[in-house]
Amino acid sequence: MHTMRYETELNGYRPFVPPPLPPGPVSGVRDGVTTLIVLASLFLVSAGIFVTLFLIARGDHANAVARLEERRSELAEVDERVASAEAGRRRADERNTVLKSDNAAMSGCVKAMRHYLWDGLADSRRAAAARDLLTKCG
Amino acid sequence: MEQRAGRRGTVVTLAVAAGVLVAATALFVVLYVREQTEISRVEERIATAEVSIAGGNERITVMKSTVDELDAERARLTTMNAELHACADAAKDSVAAARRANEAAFGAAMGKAFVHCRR
Repeated sequence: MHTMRYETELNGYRPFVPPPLPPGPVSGVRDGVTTLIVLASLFLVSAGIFVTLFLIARGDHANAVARLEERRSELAEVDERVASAEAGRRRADERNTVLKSDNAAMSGCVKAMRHYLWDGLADSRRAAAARDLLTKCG
Repeated sequence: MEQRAGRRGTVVTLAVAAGVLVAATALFVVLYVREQTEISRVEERIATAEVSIAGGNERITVMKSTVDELDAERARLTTMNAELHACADAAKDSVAAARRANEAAFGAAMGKAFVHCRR
């Protein structure tokens, strides 16, 4: 019945007859073996790739850590220099402050003396300037 | 039969090998990703340290210029201080001499004051 239909539908061609096969189970095992070989090869390649990538990344990591250490010691050095520069600035500031207060302490006396000497004072104003001189330069 | 058993052995060996290789791939993927995360963390810290270094260097530059300014100011203050001292010392000497009624000393001190207390 079926054969008849094939023959009519395929326009007179002979129906497809598969070539003789070796016994089924053995063929299945062979297919499995081939698939497994392909899979194992693929995973061998992928494992190789990722081992390589990992090793490269580990090297990069070590390099990065070394660079970090370098930067850290550089930073410690810079911090030290900042501290010493800060101390220098404070010292200079203090010295100037001392000079300024010394100058300020003397300026009253100096002003009084200059006023007494150079302002062309006479009589009472001169006497007042002299008294001022006595208090400020005493 | 024996051939079949041998084939099955091959299949098992290959399956085990494939499994081990899958596991190895997974392991090294994880290790690789971990290394990469670590690297980016370290790089971040390097960047932070570099920013700090740049900031420190900038502060050093600023402080050095401040110190230079202060030094210039100190030079000015020092000459001013010397001038003021010369005048004030003479003035004080003259006042002290006047108090002691020491005319000679007063005269000498006033002479100095004339020289050092110029405007």
